[in-house]
Amino acid sequence: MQKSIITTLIATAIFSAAPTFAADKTNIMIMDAWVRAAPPSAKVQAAFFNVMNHNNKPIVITNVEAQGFGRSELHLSGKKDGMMTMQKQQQVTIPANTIFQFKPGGYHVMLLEPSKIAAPDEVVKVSFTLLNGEKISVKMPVKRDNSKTKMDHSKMDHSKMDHANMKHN
Amino acid sequence: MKKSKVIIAAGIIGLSALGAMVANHIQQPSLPTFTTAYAQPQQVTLPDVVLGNNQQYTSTLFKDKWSLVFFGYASCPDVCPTELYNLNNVASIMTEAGKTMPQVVFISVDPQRDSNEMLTTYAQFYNDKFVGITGDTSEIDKLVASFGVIYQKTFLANNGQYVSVPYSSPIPEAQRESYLINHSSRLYLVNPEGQYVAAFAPPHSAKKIAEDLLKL
Repeated sequence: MQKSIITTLIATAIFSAAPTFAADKTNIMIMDAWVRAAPPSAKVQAAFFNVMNHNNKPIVITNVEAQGFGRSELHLSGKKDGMMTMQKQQQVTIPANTIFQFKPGGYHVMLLEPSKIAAPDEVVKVSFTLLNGEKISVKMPVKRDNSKTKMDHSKMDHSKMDHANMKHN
Repeated sequence: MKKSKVIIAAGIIGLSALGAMVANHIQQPSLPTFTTAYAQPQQVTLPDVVLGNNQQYTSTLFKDKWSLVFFGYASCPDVCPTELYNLNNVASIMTEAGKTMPQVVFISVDPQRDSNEMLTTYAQFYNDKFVGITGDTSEIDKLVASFGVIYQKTFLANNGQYVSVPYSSPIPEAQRESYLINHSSRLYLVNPEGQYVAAFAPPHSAKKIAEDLLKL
């Protein structure tokens, strides 16, 4: 019974922005999950999502696996010595009662050794292992853009107005 | 008497300043005042290097059109795709405004793993007009030096620490396929004469980049 509810939740999540997973032990939700579409000739992909920790203590993600990829790693992009760098994280700690973002330019799951690069509209099943040994799985749709980029699109309309002014230059 | 000398001196200084301004203006006839791009104090004439399968000279690649140049590598999961998606958004803004989008040239600094064929399909996935290209490290290094780009190979050593080395340095056998590359992530503007004239520093906003490009 419990399982079918969870399955329904997962199914709903694929078609809406509803929580992708709700576990009954650790109160954790992974929302707005997506795998960024990449060229078929790419060698890696990245997954992004928000983690909601409703607990009064931190949650530690220690491992990640993804269906269709030989290897998956927790990564953090950043700047060092004037260069963009990326470093594998042994674990990622989600502080108590927070929403933690895995987003472009910051934390992300790096998906390596693909059997085939996941195409738009496909779904990648990503499983996380927590420090207490619990595992949670999330089905992540593959998209070229996430909703935030769509918001950028609306900004483009504003920019058009700016551009009209700039023509005087 | 003394006063007149001062006036003459001031005149000379004034004239030379005017001369410098005129010279500067002649040197950069087509460069508008940018909002976010950092204009180079002087255009940097790029070395003519050979890239791509057809051994194309960069003087030909950059000739007669504006170009936006970004250095990266195809095994880069976050920064490079973010940049290329962003540049596609810039292209949309330019198209909507009825302006010509500069040619986007994605140059891989990782010829050991990236071929020109795969870079072509890689770049075109983001926008079918984007150019993806690489060349011998000796050629790429001449080009990166002119832009002030730095890059290095980095890999996880047995002790769990990242080790960064120059790109051509030997690295452990087990890391030959899985190394990462630290790289500068500025976006460079090259004029139709093939000169590097300005740079956009990250983080890159499509809207802000387009604002400056629309002034060209």
